[in-house]
Amino acid sequence: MKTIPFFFASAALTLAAASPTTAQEPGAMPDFEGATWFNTPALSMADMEGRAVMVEVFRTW
Amino acid sequence: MGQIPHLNSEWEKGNAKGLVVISVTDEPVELVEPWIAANNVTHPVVILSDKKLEDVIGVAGFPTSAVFLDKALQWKGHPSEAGGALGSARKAGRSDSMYPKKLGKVIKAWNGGERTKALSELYKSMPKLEGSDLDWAGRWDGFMKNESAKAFQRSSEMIEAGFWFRGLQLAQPYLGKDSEYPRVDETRSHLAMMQEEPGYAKEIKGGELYVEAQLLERQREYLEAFKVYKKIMKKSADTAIAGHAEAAAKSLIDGYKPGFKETCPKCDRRSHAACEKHRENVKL
Repeated sequence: MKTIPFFFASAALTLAAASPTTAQEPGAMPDFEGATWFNTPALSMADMEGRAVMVEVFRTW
Repeated sequence: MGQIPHLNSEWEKGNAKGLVVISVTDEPVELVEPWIAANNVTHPVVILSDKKLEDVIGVAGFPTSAVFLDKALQWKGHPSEAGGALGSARKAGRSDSMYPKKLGKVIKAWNGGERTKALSELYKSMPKLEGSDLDWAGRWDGFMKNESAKAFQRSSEMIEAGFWFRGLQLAQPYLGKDSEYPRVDETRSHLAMMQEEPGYAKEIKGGELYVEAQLLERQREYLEAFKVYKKIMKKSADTAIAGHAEAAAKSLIDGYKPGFKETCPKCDRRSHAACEKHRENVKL
């Protein structure tokens, strides 16, 4: 398994030092608030816990 | 677009073993919904209007794939190269389905297009469920009812616009025997009224052919699609669908599409206009 690139790790340290209330770590999947879902009931971050998730970012064109 | 069968297959084989597959876009519902239907997309698709997820992944082009494990990015790249990272994440990740096992019949019926059966299976299983299983059942209940409401609304709009067959196709999966979806009686009575209309049989037959022609267009078989549109104009003359077929055939002519060959370097790959050599001189 590949590890999270160094950029993300160092950015995380910088952010942690600058802001102790950082809501989201770099490289962490953001929440799906306000999303519109198809083919499934709306999924939440809790549904992703411990799971392998394959994401494909696409455009219809 | 070539990735869809692969993603569908990963989802269908993998979701029972813990894998989640999601296609993500920021485009409007009006574009995404028909795209899902036209491409038979069965795995979860989400519209995220903010670009937070794309920023986390670092998307530079489309399509881009990413593999997450326990919500942390493990890999990103071209979809064709995701295999190794995905295999590792799956080995390390949970192996139980995200959906409860007890809703297996519901989900199987839904994914198999048996919409009426899916809801009745859900209601059969609900009294035996508790905790997070019951919570999931509630989520599926809301989702299925919302889908049926959308289908009935769209069906009504399609019929109003003169696409009777398409309207029928959209509503029918929710109208099986003993259907428990809301607005079933109302929808059935609208469809029954439509069947009383003169020219109903011609509209439906023409509509079936129209769907076939649209499929041919998607396969870039423009000449064959044109021939089907002409057939509709002849066989379903004086119907709403014949009017739509005429407009579609005219649009093909105006775009010089009949005769387009993907392998020809002179045919326009962007607009799909055929080059002079391949252009078919078709007329309405």
